This record gives sequence, structure tokens and C-alpha cells, in this order.
Amino acid sequence: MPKIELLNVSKQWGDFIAVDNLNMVIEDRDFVILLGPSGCGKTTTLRMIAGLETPTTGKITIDGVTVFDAEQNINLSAAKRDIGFLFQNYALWPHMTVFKNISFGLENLKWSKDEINRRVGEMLAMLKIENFASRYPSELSGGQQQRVAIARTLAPRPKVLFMDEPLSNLDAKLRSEMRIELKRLHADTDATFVYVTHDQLEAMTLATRVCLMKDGVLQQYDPPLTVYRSPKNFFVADFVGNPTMNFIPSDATLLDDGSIQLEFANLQARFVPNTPVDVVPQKTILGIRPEHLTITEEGRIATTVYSALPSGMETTVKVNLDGQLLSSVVFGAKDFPVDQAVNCTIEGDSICLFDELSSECVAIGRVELPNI
Amino acid sequence: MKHKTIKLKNSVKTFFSKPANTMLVFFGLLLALLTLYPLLSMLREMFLVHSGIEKTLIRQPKGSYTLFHFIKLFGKGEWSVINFWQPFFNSLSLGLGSAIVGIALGGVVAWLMVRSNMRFKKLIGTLFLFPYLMPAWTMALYWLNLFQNSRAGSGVVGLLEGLTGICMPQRFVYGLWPCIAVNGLHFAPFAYILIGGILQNMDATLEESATILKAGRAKILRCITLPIIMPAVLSTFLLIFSSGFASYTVPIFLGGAVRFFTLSSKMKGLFNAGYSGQAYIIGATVILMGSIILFINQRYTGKRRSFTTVTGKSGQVSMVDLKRANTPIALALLLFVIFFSIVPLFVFALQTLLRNAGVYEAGNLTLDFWIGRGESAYRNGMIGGILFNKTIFSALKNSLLLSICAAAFAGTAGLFIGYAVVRRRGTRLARAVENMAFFPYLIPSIAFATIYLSISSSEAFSFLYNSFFLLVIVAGVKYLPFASRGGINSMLQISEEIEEAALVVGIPWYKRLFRILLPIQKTSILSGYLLPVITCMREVDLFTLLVPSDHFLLTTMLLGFNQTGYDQYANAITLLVIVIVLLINLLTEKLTGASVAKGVDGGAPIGRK
Repeated sequence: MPKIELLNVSKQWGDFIAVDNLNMVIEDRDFVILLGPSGCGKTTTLRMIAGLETPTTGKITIDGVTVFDAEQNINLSAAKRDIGFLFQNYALWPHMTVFKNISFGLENLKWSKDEINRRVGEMLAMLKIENFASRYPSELSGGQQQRVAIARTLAPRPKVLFMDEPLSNLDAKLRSEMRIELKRLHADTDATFVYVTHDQLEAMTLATRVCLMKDGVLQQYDPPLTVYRSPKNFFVADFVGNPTMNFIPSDATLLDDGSIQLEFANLQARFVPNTPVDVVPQKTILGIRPEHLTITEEGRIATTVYSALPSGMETTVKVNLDGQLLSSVVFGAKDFPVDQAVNCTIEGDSICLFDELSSECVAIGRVELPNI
Repeated sequence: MKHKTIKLKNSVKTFFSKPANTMLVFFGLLLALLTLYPLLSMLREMFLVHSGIEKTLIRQPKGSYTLFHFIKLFGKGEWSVINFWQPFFNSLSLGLGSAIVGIALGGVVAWLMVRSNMRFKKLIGTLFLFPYLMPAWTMALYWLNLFQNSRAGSGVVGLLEGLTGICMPQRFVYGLWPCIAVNGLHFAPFAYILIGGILQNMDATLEESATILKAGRAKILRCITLPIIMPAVLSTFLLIFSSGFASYTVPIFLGGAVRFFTLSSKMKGLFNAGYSGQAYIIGATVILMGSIILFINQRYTGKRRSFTTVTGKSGQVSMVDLKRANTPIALALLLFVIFFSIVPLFVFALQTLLRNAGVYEAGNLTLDFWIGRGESAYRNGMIGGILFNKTIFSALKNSLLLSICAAAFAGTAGLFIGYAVVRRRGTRLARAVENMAFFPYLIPSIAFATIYLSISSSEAFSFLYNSFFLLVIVAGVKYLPFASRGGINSMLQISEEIEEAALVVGIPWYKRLFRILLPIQKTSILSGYLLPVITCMREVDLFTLLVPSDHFLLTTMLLGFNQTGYDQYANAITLLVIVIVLLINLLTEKLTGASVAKGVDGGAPIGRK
């Protein structure tokens, strides 16, 4: 079964290091999303696995077969890796009809004519583009082109499917529709998906595992909810989630009972880690997700409303705490007038504490606030 | 009734309140006068009796209408074969041959440069463009310098025979084949620029996705790459074909000695013999051919399967590894391009040092043709070597002045036409002006010159006859297609909002143009002025009929020297022209990044990132 392994893979262009010593295992039938800001090396990583780019060092295996090994001088071409690739701009051949675009790959595989016709018909039906079989790509809308590209990629039944920002050229509505389709497709095809995006929402909603990269270095490789709840460092915490996590600089002291004394914004609080910690740096940053900073009458943090953005289902409230703007999410259709005084509290046991210097996450736990 | 007049008055007023409209009307009228009127007048000449031999033959007064020219030129008998059909098929063969040679050579080099890991890319890329920067006739002259021999044509000994004693057969030196070779070499860089540009811009994922679907290299080339670049190849083919079909100077250099005529050179011959009416018919034929080719070109590229290259992130294209063939291929190509770029300069230089042309001995070397004074120079029919020669300096001055004036005309008109056409894009008037500005492109230089000759010979425009002003107009209008294309392209890149942002705060149109639009596009506009200078410096065809005397311009002077046998002077002037052209091109490239070799769009240089 297709399991993909990357061992110490690096890619350099001159002095520029695009991917730095990447180690990663992609399990069979995973839906792995390579996530990160532009220029972080995620597309390069994908293209290296697919065989469109040659790594500088390292080793890659797909399904137990070594497809690349710098030391043994092995480099299988993309054609021999049994993969499918969906390109960002679809890369449909402009001089071929939709039918021909899909059948071209099957002809290369020496399928019989009947088989080809049957398979293409199947794909056309599956993606609801039967009516366009004899059209040329330039006569299709963006969404239709996208479907043709998917059909072309899936037609030879690849066991591994690579996708490079396949939804970024679509409008918002179509994009959310295609997200649903892609997730369903993953369930239906039994294939391993590797997917590149810079959209954290796409990563959260689609992936079974998210691989977050920055400047060519792997930051965290975990299921999306783990990444959300226990980010390894400040960068991951900041990149994932919308509205973004609240960060409050605070001074910390480790107490004898294992809890941590925090001082921020003229407040004193106690941080109770879920698992005991040995050392705590003095300069820390407290990380609170907006849904954990709740507005209640009994709250012990006094703030004022800076502005409120009601969307119907929930309202994002920006509150001012001693000159810092923090986000809070209130569920339900509620609005708050500007400059109103509100009380907040910190809820839940997935509050993060980061080392300000190294930006690593030192502890996850809950925050207890003293009575006013 | 009164209402109607007010309404009309208002709509006229609104129309002209937009400066773009005023400009369009102005250029519409000017271009009608400069292109349509001459064309119509030329068409009329096909039916007129001219003075001289025509008057005698037809026995009708000068200026009366006749079908004699058509009957004579297309009638039965040898006259028609010699004066129309043979030149016609020669032109056809020359066009076809040039296109095939040019595309084969340019296409292969383009592929090697863009898609393979060949060595010496930078050097080859630079040198390969030389034959295109140099005027086509310099290549013809180079060919003669190399291959002419005692058994062919004039009997002057060329370099090859002088050094090795080998005599190339006559058909290798004169006639169709050398014309094809020279034209093909001249246009190969042009094909390389166009095809290489498409290959470079073509989205690499189109090929990558075929690789992933297990198509082999050959199959990808056959089923994906070639069909996608085909329209570009076809349009390159048609452009080279029409240039080859209408070429004049190359067949003059390489055809005269064996009576090999193309339509263009035949036309000049008929003029000289006094058969102006038939000459005009041939001119019209060449124009018609150009229009047909342009029509086919537009028809094909406007097809249902749109080939507009979607530029995605092509990233790093994997280069084809030439492996062990790399160095041999690179070296062979390098030698080839050196032979047609650097070597010609040395050969021209060498020829200027020979006291007696064709004698390659140390004792025969002299600097007289450059710095000679007094007797030895007099013996060569000139007052001193070319560095001390007043005639040459006045020709150089005229050539430069003419180039600058023509470029100023074409560049300025191109700029305003670009602005007006883009702002009123889609209207009938804008389309008409755009087409009229492009129209001179269809007319071969020599035919264009004849049109203007016919006008300046008429009484109403006699003040133009033999004047410098006429040359400026002819050159300016002839280079207008490139200038206006350039102007339109550069204006298209500026969104209308940028201008509208200034409009809403009440800035008048000339300030918008000069303070906002021009600064944004200054390099492309500057190149719009500099590129015609280069083209004009090396032009022969356009001026040869119109100059007051051969000595008026450098290039016409050169043609004169060549025909009278002063090879050394001809070579010296060729060298001078090439050096000037290369210098201006270098200056343009340094200042604006544009180059004659990059075409009007100023596309990205090939093979470099």
C-alpha cells in the first residue's frame, strides 16, 4: 500500500535553502496537507515527491520503492512513480477537447479503446461534465476546467494523488463546494492525497494530518485538531485559526506546587499546566484562542469593547485590555455597542504558554484568575 | 428641425471633448492621406499611359486610360513568362525556402536554448542574433566575399578560392539557392526569438502533467509541445515568407549576375526600362500577396481552440540532458554562429585592405581606402580614403539625420495613436486608425517607395520630388506599424483607472499623458523612438528609388559602389553601417532593455532569467 517516506530531504538553489532536512512519513490513505506562507517550501516538497523536482540530498520512498536516493544516485522520473498530479492552473491542454484531455493519459497506458471510453464516460459522469466532452478548455468556466483537471488526474486510478493549491483559482462559493467534493473523493477513491495550500481553513477542514512549514523547516506534523489545540510553537499557533489566537506578554514564575504565577496587564493569575513542567522562562507569552476568552458578567478581567463584528451565527468582539486588542467570540446573534465596558474570563484547559525567546510552547493548561 | 441641429451640434461637441477622439480623427485623416491616397493613386497608375516607351507603344497621349499593361504582362508569349511568371515563382520559392530554412534553424536553436542544458548558451544566444541585427544585404555581400570566384559571375576571386583554390559552382554563388541561404540565415534569429519566446512562456505544467500520465519525451513533443507552439510557428512562417517573397536587395546582390529576378527586382527593372504601368501591377501583386498572408495569419490564430498561454508558476523547467552530445553540439553551433556573426566583420575589414580586389597577398594590402590621400586615392575614383572623404561624411550625416527625423515622426505618431486607440478601443474609428497604421507593413519597401515616387512625380506634389522631406515621410510611415503596435501595447498595460484617478481631480489630458502615462511607460516609449533609428540606418530598398543621388545616403552609396565594382569602398561602408547599428542597438538595450532582436513587444530575453 502506498506509504510515502521522506528521509533527510533538502533542496538548495545556490545559497538559497528551499527545503531543509525534511523527515516525514505519509501513511496509506492519509490526506496530508502541506501548509505554510508562500515561499516556505511546500510546493517544492510536493514536486520533489512527485519527481518534478530533484532534491539536493536525501531519500524518498513510495510504497517501499526508493524513487530517489542522492547517495545511491537513484532518481525515478515522474512517469514511473505511479502518481496523479493536479496543478494549480489545471494545465489542461488547450488544443485538445475535454474528452481527449482525459483519454490522453489512458492511451499512454495502452488501455483498450472500450476501456478508455468507459472510463472517460465514468469520470465525466462522476464530475458532472458529460455535456462538455467535445468542448475545448478555453470554452469552459474556471470551475468546469477544475473538474476536467480532476477527471484527467483520477482517470488512470492513481494510488497517490498530489494537488498543488487546486482551489486557489476559484471563487469563494465554488471553493467551499469543491472542498466538500474533495473530501468525499478522498473517501471514495482509497488513494493517498498530498495537498499544498496556504489557506489554513482548507487545511483544517480537509486534512487527516497537517504538515506546517516555515522557511523550508518543518514546524509541526500532526492531525489538524492537535495542531489547533497544542501548537508546538508561536508560529504554528499564530498561523492556524481565524480569528487568530490572542497573545499577551506575561512574566512567569514557577511555584512549588507545579503551578505558574503569571503577571500581565496589571493582573495576577495562576497557570495550571496539564502535565507538570520542570522549568519556566521568566519572559513568556500567553496564548488564548478567541473562543476561550469569553465575555460574561462574572468575568474578572475588566475590558471595554473596541468594535464588534456580528455575523449572525457568532460575533467577534475586539476588546481593549490595558491598551492591547484581544479577540473574543460570542456565539449567537448578539451585538455590542462601542466603548461598552465588559468583563471577560479565560476558559478551558488548552491555554498555551510560549517562551518569548525561543517561541516554543512550554506548557498547555488552564488559567485561574483571582477574585476581584 | 432646430432641435435636431442642436442635438447634432451637441453630439459633435461631446465627441471632440474627448482628446482621444480628436487624435483619432487627426490621425485618421493623416493616415488616409499618407497610406490610402498613395495606394489608390498607385492602383490608378496601373491603367495609365506614361511618357516614354509606353506612349510610343500604345499610341495614346500620356495620362489616358488603358488596359495595355495588363494585356502585355499577362498575355500569351515569352514576355509574360520572363517578366511576370518567372519572377513570381522565384519570389514564391524564395519566400518558401527562406521560411523553411529560417524556421528549421531558428526552431532548433530555440529548443536547444530554452529546453536543453546545452553549454555556452549565453554566448550562442548573443551571437545568433547578429545576422538579424545586420541588414540582410550585408549577409549577401559576405556570401559574395566568401564564394565568388573566377568561374562565376564577375570573375572576382573570393576568399574561399583565394585561400584554398576551391571554385564553388555558379548556382552556389548566384541565384535562388544562395538567396534562400542568406535570407534563411537572416531570418533564423527572428524565428528563434518568436519560437523561443513561446517555448519560454509556455506553461511547463502542460508538459509535466503529460509526463505524469506516462507520455514519453517524443510523444510529449509531438502531441503537446508542437501543437501548442504551432500557431506561433505558422505565423513566423508567414511573416518570413512574406518578407522573403518581397525581398529586393538580396536578389539584387546575388541574382543580377545570372539574371535571377524576383518580383521586386523585376519591378525595378521594368521601371528602369520605362514600363512603369507593368511595374505598378507587379507592385500591386506583391501587396495583394502580403494582405492574403496577413489574412490567413489572423484567421488561423483566431480559431476556436484559443492558445493564449496561461502563465502559471512554471517554476524550474527540467532541462533535457544532452549528455555526451552536449559539447559537440554546443561547439558545432558556436562555430556556426561565429562564422555568421564575428567572421563577417573581419572579412569586410579584410576586403577593405586589398589594393586589388580578389588578390589575397601580403603585398596587396593597403590602408588607402581608409586613410589614403592624394594620388593613390584618386586612382580609385575618390577624393581620399573614407575617413577623409567629404562625400562619405555628408552621406553619414544625411543617414543619421534621416533616421532621427523618421524615428521622431514614427515614435511620436505611434505614441499618440497608441493612446487614442487604446482609450477608444472597440469603436469603429479606433479600429480603422489601428488598421491604417498597420497597413504599411503589408507593402514591401520597394513597392512603398514606388507609390511615393508616383506621387512625387505628379504635379500637385512636385515639391516632394528628390527632397529630404519625402524620405522622412516615407521612412516614418513605413516604420509606423511597429511604432504604433509598440504604443498600443504599452498603453494597454496601463489600466484606465490610473488615468481616471487624475481625471476626477481635474487634470487636463496633456498633463495626464505627459506626467502620468509617459513616465510609467518611459522605457518602452524610448525604445519606440530608438528602434526605428536602427531600422532606418540599414535601410536600402525604401530609399534607392527616392534619393536625389546615390551619394546621398550611406546605404545607397554602398549599393552604387557595389554595382560599379568598388568592392573595397562597399565593404568599408558596410562595416561602418554594421558598427553604427550595433552601437545604437547596444545603447537602446542598455537604456531601455529593448532591442531590435526582441521585436516590438520587448519580450523577455530568451534563455536567461
